[in-house]
Amino acid sequence: MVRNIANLAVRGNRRFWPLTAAVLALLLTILYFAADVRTQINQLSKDPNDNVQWVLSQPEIELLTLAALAGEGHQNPAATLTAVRQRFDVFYSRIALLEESPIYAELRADPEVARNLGQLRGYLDATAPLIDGPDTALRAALPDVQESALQHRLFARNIALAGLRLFSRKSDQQRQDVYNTLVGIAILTTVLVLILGLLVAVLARLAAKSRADAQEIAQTRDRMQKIIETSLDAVILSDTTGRIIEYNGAAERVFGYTRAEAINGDMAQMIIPKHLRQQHHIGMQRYLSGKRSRVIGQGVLNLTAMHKSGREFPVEMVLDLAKTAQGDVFIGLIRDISERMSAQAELTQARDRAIAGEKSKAELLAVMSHEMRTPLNGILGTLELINPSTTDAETNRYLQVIRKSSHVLLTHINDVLDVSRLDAGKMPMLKRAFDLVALLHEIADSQSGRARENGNIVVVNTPPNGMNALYSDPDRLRQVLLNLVSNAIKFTRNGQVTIEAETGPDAAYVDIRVIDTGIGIGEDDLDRIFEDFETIDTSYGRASEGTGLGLGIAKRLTQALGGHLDAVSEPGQGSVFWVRLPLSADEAPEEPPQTTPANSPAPSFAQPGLRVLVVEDNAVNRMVAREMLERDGHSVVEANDGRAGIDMAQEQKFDVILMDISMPEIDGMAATRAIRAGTGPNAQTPIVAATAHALPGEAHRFFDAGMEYVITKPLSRETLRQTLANAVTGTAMAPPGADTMPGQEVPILDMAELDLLVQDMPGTALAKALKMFRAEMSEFVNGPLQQHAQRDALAFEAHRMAGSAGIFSAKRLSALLSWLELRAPAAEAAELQSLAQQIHSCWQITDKAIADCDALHRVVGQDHS
Amino acid sequence: MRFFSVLVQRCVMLCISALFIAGAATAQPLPNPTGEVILTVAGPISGQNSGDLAVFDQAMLAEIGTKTIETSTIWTEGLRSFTGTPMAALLQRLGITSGTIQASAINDYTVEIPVADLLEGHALLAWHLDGQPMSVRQKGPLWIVYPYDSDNRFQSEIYFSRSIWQLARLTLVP
Repeated sequence: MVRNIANLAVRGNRRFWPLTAAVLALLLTILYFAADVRTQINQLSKDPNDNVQWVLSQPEIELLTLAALAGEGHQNPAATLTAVRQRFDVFYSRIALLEESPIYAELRADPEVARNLGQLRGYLDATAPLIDGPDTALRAALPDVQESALQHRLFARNIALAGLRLFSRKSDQQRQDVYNTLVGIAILTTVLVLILGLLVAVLARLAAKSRADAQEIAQTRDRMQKIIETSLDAVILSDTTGRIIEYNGAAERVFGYTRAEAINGDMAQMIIPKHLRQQHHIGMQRYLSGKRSRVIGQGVLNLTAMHKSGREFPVEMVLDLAKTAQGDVFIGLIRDISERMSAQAELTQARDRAIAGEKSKAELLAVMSHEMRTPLNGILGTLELINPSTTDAETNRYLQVIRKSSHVLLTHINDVLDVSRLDAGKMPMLKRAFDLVALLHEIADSQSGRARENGNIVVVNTPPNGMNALYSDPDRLRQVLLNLVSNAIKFTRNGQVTIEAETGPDAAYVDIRVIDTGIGIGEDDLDRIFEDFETIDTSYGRASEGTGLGLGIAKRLTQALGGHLDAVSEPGQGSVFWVRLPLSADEAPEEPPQTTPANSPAPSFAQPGLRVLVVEDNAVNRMVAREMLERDGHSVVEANDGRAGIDMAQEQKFDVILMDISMPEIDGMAATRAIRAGTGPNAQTPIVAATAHALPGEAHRFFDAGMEYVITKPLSRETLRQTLANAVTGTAMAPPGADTMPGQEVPILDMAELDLLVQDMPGTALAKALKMFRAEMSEFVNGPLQQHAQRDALAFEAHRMAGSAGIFSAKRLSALLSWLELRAPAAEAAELQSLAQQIHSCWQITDKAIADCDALHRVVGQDHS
Repeated sequence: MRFFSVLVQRCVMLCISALFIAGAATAQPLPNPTGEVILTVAGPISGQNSGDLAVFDQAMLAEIGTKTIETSTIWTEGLRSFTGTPMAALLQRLGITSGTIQASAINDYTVEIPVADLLEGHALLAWHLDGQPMSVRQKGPLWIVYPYDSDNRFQSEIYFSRSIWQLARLTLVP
């Protein structure tokens, strides 16, 4: 407001100066005219012209008088001539005056006057010698003097008349000048009065405006005062020395000081905590030295303030500066945010607790699922051992129910495990290039059997090109699509299930649709079907088995792949579920995709749904194998030694048998020979040797025993997949590697493999396994390794430990132990001694590497110590 | 108060005695002229030397007081030097303190001049122009002049009319 008025004043000045200049100019002009008038009046009062008429008329009179006196003197010879002489002298002086005086200079300039004056001068000059001469001569000449005087009267009169004309004209001129000047003054005065009137009007308006402004300022000030008084935030004004000059009611509440106490008090001493005062003073100094302040006008600041009681509390503060006539004034608006901060802290705590609770719940779910699955596998395995021919029909029927229920239970547990893993973000997505068309055909083929049971046919529709090089995780996508297709089959009777794929515009995405002609889903239900544990109550309710997690998992998986899953449906007509996956350029594969001949399954991985028998005495190894196989959609039956393996192979048909080599009593080779020699359903089944022995000599022994494939432990998903694919298609495997003593080139830990292990194994199980391994290894290094007497026992132990070390990707240790196993039976004592030492130190390095391994540490957490 | 009135009384007494002394000085009769009489003064004056008139030659006037002023006039060309007797001195010599002087020229041209104006001391009864006596043809023998250049007020009709030349007689009208 103050600034506005200042502006107005400046504007006013600017607006008024031409007016002021005009008034000044007018005043000056009037003064000039007034001076002129004064000069003229002066001139009039001076009247430099004397009594002109008198002077002009006098010569003629003098001449007449002279003539009269001369005539008188002539008639009266007794009369003195003094009067004549004196009168002539007077006349002389008159003419001399006319000739000499500056007053008559103008008159003299008139040629007529000059001529007349010349005549008179001639008369004077002619007569003067007579006048000055002796009386007798003068007396004799008196008649001439008389006549001459009378003659010259005419010249004197002419001069008088010319003079009168001139001076009356001059006088008129002078009067006119005065008149003009006075008229000029009158006009100027009128203009001046008008301008002054205008000025008065403008000033009156300005005065009215400034009164209004003053009133407005007063009102504003009043309003501001009210605002400050009623503000909910503390308002403190201080001068540049920190002295408080305003302090409102809210400030009293916030800081505890009364207004009377606060006004004129030192703000720093009163409301700034002791440990912050130094900083405050530095800031003040900084401001006073003219530098830019870090706090003034910087928006909301979070600071700590002090109550009268010394209690410190958090505040929000806005600080600004007002320039006043009395100097700068700091304006601080301060809000006590203690309650908000504590509420926020509580909220954060509550949220953290909730998150922690959610997390522990998810972990519990994961652990429980895993823990439930292990005994369930036991149940299923045991059920497989029961020979239906040895039991009666009723028992078989019961067993069938138990088997079916157990399988359902296993599916549920796997679902829950998937959900918890997806939610925990522990489900790794392994993206790579793959052939989508092949994948769709594979799914259709694998489901066609089940489709037929419901009278359905499965059709795959793909565009002729562009679908052979999708970059995503084919395993996850398969899981999603299997779920959608199996749902479609489930809810369709005597209809068709179509699997379609189509790329979007600019190949930005690919849509994969699963279309059925089934019962459809109501609009109300359509939103719920993707939620967890939702099963739609349908007429096929009994037929639709499942946890209700299937679509939830599918949706999560799709999202984890960067896409989304959606559905439309028309009850009674059918449903369309579609997966939209992005095809971003930066995710394009570096290597060309693996293309395959049309109509043949991809050789890199086997069709899902294989029945695999895993014969393995090591529980950890069994668990790992089961995880990997089930993940790929295969079903697994476990046998925990060679005897059990032979028995199970006798019982039922498997697509592939995974056979451990080193097992107590009956080892893998013996078991294989027994199976091949028998007449059971698996006499021709491909058998894969799973071994830590990666030696050519060994491999030949396995082939001799009737195994077709060798897989090196620890198992990796890729090699397992490849081997299964080879086994199913009958492709021969490549020969194994070289036969040398392992050296420094073998890494202590294979990190890539370790990462895969961490991804594949639940944390708790991994921690348990790791703990077990370290205990066993420690015992082995300090016990059997030092006793070389029992060579066979040493070899056996070495083999066992090599397997365990392999699981944890301890490559060098595993290789050294395998070498020990190989050499133990026949080697010299010195060689064994040296080998034992190498193993000992290698274990120490490996143990440390495991302890330092971040990947393991993250998963295993506090269990690893 | 009383002291003040005493003071006033004393002052009045001093003034009266001063006038008395002055009066005593002017009471002396004028000498008789030895040269040509150029001025005759009539009226209730003191110091008459020719019946009830006072008559002066140029030497007597010079005796009363002589002063020279330089000024231009509207009747003459250029700066001129006038020498004569201050009118104030002449009037004092004749004991004139108030009234009006009628000044007449030889052709009987007459003007009236207040005594008060003459007593101011500016008016000069000039008898020399540029150090020379003035003939009648040169507006002599006597010419009352004012220092016109020294003050604008003398350049007015009233002073011009009072500047009478060819002066012959003065008559005091009380």
